[in-house]
Amino acid sequence: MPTNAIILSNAPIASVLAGNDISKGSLYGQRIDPLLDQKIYATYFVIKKIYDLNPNYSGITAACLYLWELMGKYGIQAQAYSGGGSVAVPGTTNRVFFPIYITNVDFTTATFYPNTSIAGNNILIFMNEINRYLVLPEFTVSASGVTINIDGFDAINNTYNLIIEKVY
Amino acid sequence: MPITTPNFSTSESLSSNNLVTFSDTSTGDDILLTSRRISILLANGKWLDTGGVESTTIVYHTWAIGDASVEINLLTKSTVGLVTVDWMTGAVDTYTKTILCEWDLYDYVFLFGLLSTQTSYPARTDNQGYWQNSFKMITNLFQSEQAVELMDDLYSSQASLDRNFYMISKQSNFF
Repeated sequence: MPTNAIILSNAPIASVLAGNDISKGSLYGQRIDPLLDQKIYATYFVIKKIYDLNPNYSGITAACLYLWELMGKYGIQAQAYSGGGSVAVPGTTNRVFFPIYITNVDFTTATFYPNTSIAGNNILIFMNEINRYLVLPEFTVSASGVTINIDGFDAINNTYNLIIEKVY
Repeated sequence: MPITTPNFSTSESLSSNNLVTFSDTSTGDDILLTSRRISILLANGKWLDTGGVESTTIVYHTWAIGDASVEINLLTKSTVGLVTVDWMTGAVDTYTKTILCEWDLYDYVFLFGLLSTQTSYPARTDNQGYWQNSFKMITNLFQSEQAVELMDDLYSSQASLDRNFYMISKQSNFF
């Protein structure tokens, strides 16, 4: 069963859909309760007021399930409009694109460059000022970023140009 | 510094529909104020006292100046009232604010009770004009709320609630 919140968010849509069907029903001769859209709205009107004041009010779940049964197939159809009941689309992860070009300006301390996307990658760091790659333990990678451990490295007072590359 | 915008709001208790809470939402501050008082004019020209008692003379409910809100046992049925709050400096009415307020949870709780019965005995929907009279009550509620929100009409709003009160008090004839 949907949650009370989902039932209540879909009920107004279900009332509209039922109203549409009632109109078409007279044309195509289908068997349908001509008051169904009004019943859905009337039931929703009362429950919504109580739910907004206290979602845990005694009997609220039974009342919502009663409304859900009243909504019938229109409750299911309503979810196509509201998105209720669907599976959440997986979000894209925060991908990082290599190489990463950084300067001393990108450091938050004398030695720390913050970037939460680097951890988990096998990287090399080229330091332009010494014209070579850093070798371990001249840098360390943590979940929060990269720390340069070279003696005398000071991004606060010096200018640096570094390239972080991913090694596959 | 004076109160720049005297204001208040009210809310009705869902668990105890007779209780109404008044909250001061004014902006600014006036350290000279000594008390507040509340008066509630009904559609029939009477004044609402505690316990739902109606008075032909004006009734003031005291609201201590140090309390941000006050809860008063006011109602015995859904009610609309023209509420005036006075901010007093001694005996002088320094600021005043009047708002048309509606407290209609008695009707909602009654309708919800009917609905709860339906969840146990859905066959009732086939008899006693249940839906027809439910629609009528809900329409009255809607009209009452619209009369307050859009029309500022105390009489029409209370008249709608009174139609519901009649149905509630004679519920065996309607549901």
